[in-house]
Amino acid sequence: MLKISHAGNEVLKTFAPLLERTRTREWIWILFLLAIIGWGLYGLYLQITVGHTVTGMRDNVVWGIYIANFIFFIGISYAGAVISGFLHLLKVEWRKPIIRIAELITVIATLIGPLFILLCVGRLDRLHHLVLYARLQSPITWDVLAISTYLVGGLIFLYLATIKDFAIYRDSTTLNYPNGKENSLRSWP
Amino acid sequence: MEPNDNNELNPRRDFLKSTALGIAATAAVAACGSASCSCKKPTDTSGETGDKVTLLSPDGELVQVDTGHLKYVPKNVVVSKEEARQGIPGRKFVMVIDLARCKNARKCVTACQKMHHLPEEKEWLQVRLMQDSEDAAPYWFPKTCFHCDNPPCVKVCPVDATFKRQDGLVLIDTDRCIGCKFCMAACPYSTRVFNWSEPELPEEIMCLPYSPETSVPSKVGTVEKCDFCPDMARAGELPDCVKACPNGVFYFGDQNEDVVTNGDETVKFSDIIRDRGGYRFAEELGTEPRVWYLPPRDRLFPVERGLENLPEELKERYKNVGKEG
Repeated sequence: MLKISHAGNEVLKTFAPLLERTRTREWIWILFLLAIIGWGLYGLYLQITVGHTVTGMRDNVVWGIYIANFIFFIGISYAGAVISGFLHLLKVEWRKPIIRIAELITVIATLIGPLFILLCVGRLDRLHHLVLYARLQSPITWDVLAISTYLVGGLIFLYLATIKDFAIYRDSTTLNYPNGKENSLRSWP
Repeated sequence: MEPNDNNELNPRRDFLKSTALGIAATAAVAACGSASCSCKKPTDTSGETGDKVTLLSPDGELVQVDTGHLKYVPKNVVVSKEEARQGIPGRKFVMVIDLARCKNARKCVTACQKMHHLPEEKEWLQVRLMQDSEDAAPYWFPKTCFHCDNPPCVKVCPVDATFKRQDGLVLIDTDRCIGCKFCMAACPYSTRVFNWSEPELPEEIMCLPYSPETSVPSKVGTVEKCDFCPDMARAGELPDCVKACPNGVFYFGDQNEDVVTNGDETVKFSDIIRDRGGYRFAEELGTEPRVWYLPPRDRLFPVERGLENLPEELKERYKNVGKEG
């Protein structure tokens, strides 16, 4: 069991109120975000049923915002990985929160980027061809290998960086968990 | 984490199960979005539809036959996938396009579209109006796939859906293509087209047996391009664009035999390239194309002939090339 100072408990109470209860304000925010996601899902439905013509891409511009966003988010994930990797080499105490944030950014961006690429692919029902008939000479195969390795590595590093945070939540004395929450936190990690 | 009892409710397992079911259902729906699930066996010739057509029998009589008894037979034999990847042995196909004769009749374009059941907007063979510099004279430039010997499209395909054969052709297997469009981005000649939406084809065409040599039917979400009609070559015929051109612009032939023909004239490939100054388009890109061009010298027609009798929307394409120099 960790011993958490009074000041530490105060910080927890300020920054983790959602662990105790969810207020109306949060529900409204969640509903709003769900509405935006629903709008996106409607666009996805249009793309699946009507075809890729709805994207506005044509034969002379075959890659558009999907690829641009993919590259953008993968770039963000690289930034997170570089910062986290570099800080792992140093041995200073202040690196830990930064490593945590960088790893979180890396993992989330590595999840969003390939999502955009999947939207751009013409035949999603043939994705397994990328594994069955992969050509190692192709940059897209390099992409698949690199990003999947990257995702696994990022998840491992994120887990390692947040073990202590879960322990702090578990052992804090001032947070009032609703029924059951405390039990599930007890079994972490 | 403690191991879970098999007896008690396991919410994690239920979640994984329902997600897997959801993904499987989506995949099934997506796969059946393409027409592959609606092809019945096309050889049912026993039904009667009531429509009759008049046909000439081998004895010289005119007979009336119900259309239900007719079967659509594809023009050419469909080879297996392995044979389609190997290629026709001993051949090295090459094409020579005579720019001095082209007047933008577009018979090649329409013949190619008809043979491959393409809609009007999709052109595997494009006729451009080229002007090499401000003072140079414009000329009509038919552009097929060049079937390069160093093809950038083949280099970047992640699933080996486009491949270079031993007879020189670069073909696409649209059963394997995942539609990433990298080959389209890689081709410096913009010769590949994409099926952005489900092609509107009658059912008998959709259910034709497919091989990379016939490239029929088109499938949604895949890439396609000019294929030099290897199914016609196996039958000993010239591609439809070569046959359809009224001015004999296209010469098609075999570099191993050193001969090309446009249907009327048959010449030695090395002779025609040497005597008429054959060149390859954008040689500096290093793709080693297999299509040679003969420069537009001693033209058969003035370039304006190509703009006569052209529908307005096609004329729009060429309005920037010009005579204002």
